[in-house]
Amino acid sequence: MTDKEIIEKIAKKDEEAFRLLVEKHKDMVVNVCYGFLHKREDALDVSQEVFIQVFRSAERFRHEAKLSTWLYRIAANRSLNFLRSKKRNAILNSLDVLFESNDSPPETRLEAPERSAQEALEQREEIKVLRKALATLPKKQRMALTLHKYQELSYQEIAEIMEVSVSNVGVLIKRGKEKLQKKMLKFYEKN
Amino acid sequence: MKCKAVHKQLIFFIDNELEAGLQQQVENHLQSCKSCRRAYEKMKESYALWDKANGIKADNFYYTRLKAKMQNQAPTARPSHPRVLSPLLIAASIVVGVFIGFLIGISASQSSATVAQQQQRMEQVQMYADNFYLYEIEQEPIESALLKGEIQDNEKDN
Repeated sequence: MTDKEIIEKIAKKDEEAFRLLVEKHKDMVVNVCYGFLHKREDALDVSQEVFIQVFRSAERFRHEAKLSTWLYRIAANRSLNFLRSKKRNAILNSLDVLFESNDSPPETRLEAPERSAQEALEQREEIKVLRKALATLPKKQRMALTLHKYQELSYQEIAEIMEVSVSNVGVLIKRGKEKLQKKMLKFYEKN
Repeated sequence: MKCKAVHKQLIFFIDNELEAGLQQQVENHLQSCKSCRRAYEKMKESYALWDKANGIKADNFYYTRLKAKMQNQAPTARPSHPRVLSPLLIAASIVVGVFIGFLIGISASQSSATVAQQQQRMEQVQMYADNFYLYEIEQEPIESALLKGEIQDNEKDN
């Protein structure tokens, strides 16, 4: 079954077609999310939201772009939105702490003793530095840079996903790297 | 090459994106400068986050969990008003709030004016009362004078 046929069937709420789509693209979608979120649980959670959005809005897919491009776009946007809402929640949580709330923040609950090797990696200081530096980048720079570095996509592919010109992608990546470098060096100087 | 110039090129050096000559210059500097080499190594380590080898895979129960999540997720009830209207509603509530505040302000100033008027009236009454009282006091000697006069007349008549 081609991607076009799969999407057409999903638009008619065909569950078997949806299962095929998920099995075919789940690793790619999970990894796109992971490239932005750097946390396994978050990546799995957001990737599921991506597929739910695909299932609910398949009839809107116009087949002008490749299915994978569409999935990349949804995954990248969903991940960035997730980070934004998480940042907002972190602010609210810090307010809770200020007002002596007894609810432990979600971050604390994740600190289980039997943390997997993957989670241990996620907790490494260097990775935290990169994550913090990335969080300061403008959305477009961050998206272009992550898709290029982590997904190893070409400028052309990123341009299609982000719906911008190829030269614009080049500028976004260069500026993103410059800012990232500046932030990371600043951190190393302090520590 | 100075440290500051090297710092500006580090990330591109790691990604092998510099021109051959510049790449060599940075490399030479890193071999001789300890602090720049330290920064380079740390940055390279942070960059490891993006290594493909660190990628994750969805397990075999991924679809089952996804279906369970879809079933649990009841379609979210849309708000009765479109999202575009939210800023308008906020603006309208601000205007109403200001208007109510304005009304409260006016009524407060009116009530304070009424208090002042009442005070003025009280003062006038007091003044009138005082005057009347004084008048009464002033009348007393006349009355008594008249009374005295009457008495004196009576005495003369007698």
